[in-house]
Amino acid sequence: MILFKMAWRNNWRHKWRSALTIAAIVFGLSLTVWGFCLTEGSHEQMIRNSVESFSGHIQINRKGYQDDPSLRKSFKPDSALYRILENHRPDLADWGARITTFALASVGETSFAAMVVGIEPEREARFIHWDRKIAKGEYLRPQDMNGVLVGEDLADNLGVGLGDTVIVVTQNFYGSLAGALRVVRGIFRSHSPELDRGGMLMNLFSAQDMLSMDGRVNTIVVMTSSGEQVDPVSRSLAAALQGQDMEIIPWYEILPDLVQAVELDNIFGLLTNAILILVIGFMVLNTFLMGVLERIREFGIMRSLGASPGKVVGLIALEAVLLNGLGFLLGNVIGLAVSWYNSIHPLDLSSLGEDVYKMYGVDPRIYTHLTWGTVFYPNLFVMVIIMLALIYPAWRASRIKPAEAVARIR
Amino acid sequence: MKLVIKTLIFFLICIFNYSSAETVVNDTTLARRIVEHADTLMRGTSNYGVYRMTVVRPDWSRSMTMESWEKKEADVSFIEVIEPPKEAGTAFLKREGQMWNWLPDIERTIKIPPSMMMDSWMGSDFTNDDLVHESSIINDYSHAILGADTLDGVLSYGVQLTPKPDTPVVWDRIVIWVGADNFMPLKEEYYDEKGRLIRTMYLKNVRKISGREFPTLWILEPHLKPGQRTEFEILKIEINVEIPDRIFTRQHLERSR
Repeated sequence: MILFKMAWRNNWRHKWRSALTIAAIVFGLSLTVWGFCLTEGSHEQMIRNSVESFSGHIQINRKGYQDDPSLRKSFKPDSALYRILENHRPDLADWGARITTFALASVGETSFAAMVVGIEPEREARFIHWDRKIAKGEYLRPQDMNGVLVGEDLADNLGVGLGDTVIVVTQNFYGSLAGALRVVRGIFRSHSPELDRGGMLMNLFSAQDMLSMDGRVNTIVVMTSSGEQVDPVSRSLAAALQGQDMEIIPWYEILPDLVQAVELDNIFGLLTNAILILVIGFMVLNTFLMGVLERIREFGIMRSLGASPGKVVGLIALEAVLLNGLGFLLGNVIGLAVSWYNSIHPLDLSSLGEDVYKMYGVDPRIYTHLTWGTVFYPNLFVMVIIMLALIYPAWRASRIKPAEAVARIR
Repeated sequence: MKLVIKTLIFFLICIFNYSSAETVVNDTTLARRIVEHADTLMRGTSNYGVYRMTVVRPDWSRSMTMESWEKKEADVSFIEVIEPPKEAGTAFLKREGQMWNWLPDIERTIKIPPSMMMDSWMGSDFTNDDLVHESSIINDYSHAILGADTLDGVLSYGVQLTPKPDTPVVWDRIVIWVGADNFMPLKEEYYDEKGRLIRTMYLKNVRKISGREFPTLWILEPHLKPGQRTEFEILKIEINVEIPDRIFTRQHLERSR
């Protein structure tokens, strides 16, 4: 109890120094917590944007399709498969069948490579929201045999507008050259520059007819109710479809670039935070080392009065706990408060250049995301660095020889 | 003494090897004439035919019926698909070493670009190049008789075709086996530059058709792709018939059908 009293009073002896140390911890910790929440939030947004722009959470293909995405690697979805999908609701929120192939799109003498995607328009409107991405014209009607939606940049390159006819030439399922005439019903602008530059969407049966697919599809795109459901639903679908020559691919295997971008960004974030935390560590070291060195005589008297070296170290540790405890408390409160605020009112970075964000498929308004990790890890890192910073001052204090120390002028 | 025996054996081996190599009869004129004769038997100076092509794959197969016209000396041919309805009207014109493809769905002609020459023709095991360069087996290759063998109980001669220098050809070596009695081709083997047998064409079911003996089932087997083959069933063949030149024009290819 006496130790606690002494520690409390010692901290109050240097109000400014204590206040500055606390401020450093508060500043560093709250900034790190907020930074972690912001990074986590922006990554989640990035992933959601990518997943919702085309790939979906999970794709079901014939085995080997991801390595060799050809029309040959296709299958006829049957009622058993539909039943399996329906049985996975509500964790499995939505799904839609697709055909994807490459083609040459021509208008007059102009030709461009295009990615033709046959979709089920009503289904995909629910999770890819193509209907909200229509910049001009209208969305595909379910019965529309001849209609096509063209990416904005592809439409510009081809010089087509609404109602114009595009010639699509490609190889059909059997490997023969096949062609079709399609009428532009709408022009879309998505989050994906690649789709805008080369995407053509048509009804699934319209693509099946053009490509002689006879009811076959390449992919069933699945959207789960949340990101956390991706793995459980994937595992369960894989178990249900076992032995059927099918593969179930989660988004992180479809979009390895995105995973790498997130990992790289995590490393940069960690580096920035590490520097910040290191600076705080040195500030704390500075305060405590000074506090020990200027009180050598005082500690000598303590020892002379019968206090053990452990008591002296204990006193210093207690001072640190009091000071840092307050810093941690305030740091977490402020960090969490700001993070929580930004999870409702996003941080708007659009003034820093909208084009850059569009290029990477990121919304310039970033919502923070609070998880246990985004609070726990900053606390852990700051705690560890402060402990490290305390080792040397405490060691110095424990080595004090009472006679020598008392004999010192100060 | 030992050395003498060794030397003797060495010479014997040399002679033996030499004589087995000699089974390649370097009578190029005879070999060339055999190939020419076989080619004339199969195609004449001109021909008209109806074929059913069946592409067989491990998990599916598909048949198409097509009509074909060819004039050999002009190096032109015209092929039109008549069945199934989805593909009917698709037509190919080969002329001056180039090929055009008419696609009725879009009412456009597509010239097969050089980059697509090695691609599959209509999804079969034939390439576009096979169709365009078919006639060069006489002029672009040197010919040698390889030997005799019995194929399915028929005595036949093998003729080896090796490309002449500076000839842009796909195959390093082609061996054509013809029946000894009538020089009708029975089997064609295609080797790549590593000496691997890449594909074999079997010509079977010799029957009297349109008044002459003719192999009515041709099977092309690519050896590197197990379970795949392409069959040609000859439904009708007329050799040395009169064909008007206008058949082999872009106008005919693109006329409304």
